[in-house]
Amino acid sequence: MWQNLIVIVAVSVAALYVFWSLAPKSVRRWAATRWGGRMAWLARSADSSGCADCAVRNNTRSSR
Amino acid sequence: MRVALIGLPNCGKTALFNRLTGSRQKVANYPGVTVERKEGVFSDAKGERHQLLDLPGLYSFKPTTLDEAITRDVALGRLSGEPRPELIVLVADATYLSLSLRLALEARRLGLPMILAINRSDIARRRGFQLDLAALSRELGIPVVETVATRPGGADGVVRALEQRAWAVSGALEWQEPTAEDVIIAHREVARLLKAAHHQEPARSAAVAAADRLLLHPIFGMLSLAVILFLVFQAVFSWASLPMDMIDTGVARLGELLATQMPEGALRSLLIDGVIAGLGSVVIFLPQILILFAFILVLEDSGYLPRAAYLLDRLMGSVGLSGRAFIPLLSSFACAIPGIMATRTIPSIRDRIATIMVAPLMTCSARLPVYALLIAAFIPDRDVGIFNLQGLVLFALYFTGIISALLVAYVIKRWQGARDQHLLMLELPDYQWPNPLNLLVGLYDRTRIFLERVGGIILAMVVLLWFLSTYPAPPPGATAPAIEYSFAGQIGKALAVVLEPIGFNWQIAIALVPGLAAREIAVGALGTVYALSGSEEAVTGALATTISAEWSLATALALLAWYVFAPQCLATLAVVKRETGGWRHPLMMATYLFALAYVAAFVTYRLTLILMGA
Repeated sequence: MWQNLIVIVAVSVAALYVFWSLAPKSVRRWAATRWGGRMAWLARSADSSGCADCAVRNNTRSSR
Repeated sequence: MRVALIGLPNCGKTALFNRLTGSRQKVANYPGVTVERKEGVFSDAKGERHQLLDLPGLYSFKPTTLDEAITRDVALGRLSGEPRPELIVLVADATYLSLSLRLALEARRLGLPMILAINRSDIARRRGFQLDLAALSRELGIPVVETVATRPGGADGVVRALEQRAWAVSGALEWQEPTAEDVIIAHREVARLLKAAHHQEPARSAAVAAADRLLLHPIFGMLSLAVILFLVFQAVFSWASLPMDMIDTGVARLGELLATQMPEGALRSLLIDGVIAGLGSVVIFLPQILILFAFILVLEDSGYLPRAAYLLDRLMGSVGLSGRAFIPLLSSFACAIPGIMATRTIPSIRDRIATIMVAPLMTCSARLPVYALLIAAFIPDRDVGIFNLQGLVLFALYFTGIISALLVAYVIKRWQGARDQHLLMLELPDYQWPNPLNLLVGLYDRTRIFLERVGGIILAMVVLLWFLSTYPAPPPGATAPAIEYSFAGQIGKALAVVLEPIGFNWQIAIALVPGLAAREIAVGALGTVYALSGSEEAVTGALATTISAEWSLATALALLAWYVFAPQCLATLAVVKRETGGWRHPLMMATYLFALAYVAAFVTYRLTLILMGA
């Protein structure tokens, strides 16, 4: 029983994560405006482009 | 006081900005454009706070790019909503002073007080450059200070000059854009200033001159470039086998451990068939990605890459691309997104669009796991002359991407009917031994990016795909593997009708759907799909062995051809929409790339079948 519960939670979290990652920025901003006050990470991740490479390149350039 | 940092691209402006402001900075875009605006605050010893603006790099106040136009407009107070700076800190690279001094002469005409910050002065001194700062300050009539932006305290000279307020506004002239005659006069004035400041550059060594004669030669230079790239791709396969075997064994052991310790059930299937089979299939390619990037970082750090840009400029020009397109296209080998963003430095909008449209054809690192999986499964690990056959095939795939990009660029430019000519101007830095710390930091960053993707979007996709491939359960008395009755199985079989002419089976069709988000997800998806299809090999991590038994060579080659072209990356399409300001170009890009992928896969599949006599 508890195994099935863990599976349901894992699949639900994965579905939300995929939706959040692939949703248009306007949707993420709307969610961040609505709930971002209580969940700071939500507001922070609303503007991320999903491009980890860009962040690294910026850091590299800054430290040069 | 509002202070603006101005300087040539790559002179260390942003490093100085970070040194002065630390984490107290805000990053946004200038209104209506995609040029980044960075602002921060810092305090001097007297406790006075200053606002600091990091303006985009420029070569001249006569702009040729959007970045340069923004810098000029901000400096002149012409950009609405952006107050004019009260002071300019002009940052110059101590190892390349003449162009910066020309810019300083132009900046004097802005009518703003100015401090000249000679950055990277430590490196210049070590390499034998000499400069009399007091004399230069006297000649220019502005404070001149030394900075080392990468060291703590390296920006103190700027702060002290700010406290002393020892500047005089020398630019009483009315602003007008520099003409060609002004540039010639400025060059003469720069030569005079450098002489007055007793500027001396170290003599170029005979060894460097000889190396450049070879590496920049129209024929031997191209041959050297081809040999270097060949060696890189050989190393990707030859050096990575040991760490890949170790990861493979570790993943297999973990799967076996869980299989013996956990009771039968949904959670065990999720962990073994979903997470371990899916993620294990992707993680195994980390050593190959690191070896490829180690070579790219070494080439970048050694000063070779600008020389490669110089060599390829003629080739780029022959298909109508600007020489400035080289750096964005080179960046696209890591990821098309920073490459597309780097096209902002291309002055002509037509050249910029053409470069954006072909950037996804350069082989990004997300394709490497797919290529490596298929090559390891279908191409024999044997030598052809002095080369390894698997390395040769990988080289051929990268080469096909480059040639396709050039051909598509040629077609786009013919279609646009444009014949813009732009000269390539770039500085050829001295050769240097790569810095081991830079190399380690670069590889650490690359590992972090890869593992964050594996632990983030790939893990989430694999869990979802496991669910779609497991439910609903097969009906009583079913004989085929359970996955065939699942949601994913049904979707895969529906898509297989379209993909059957190019040789793809329903398992590949399933993997291509989550693979639309990002290319490497397809490898994890294949791992999960084959594990749930009852393949023991896939469960224990050896996905390559499974697919080599299940697929024909024609199917594998067709999938390789598909991946050379298919635009399977939603983030890239989103960035193209942002950079081009609408859906037209991303839609055109997706359409032409999918069409090319389908045609290439079809031709490859059919030709291979004919050649194999099937």
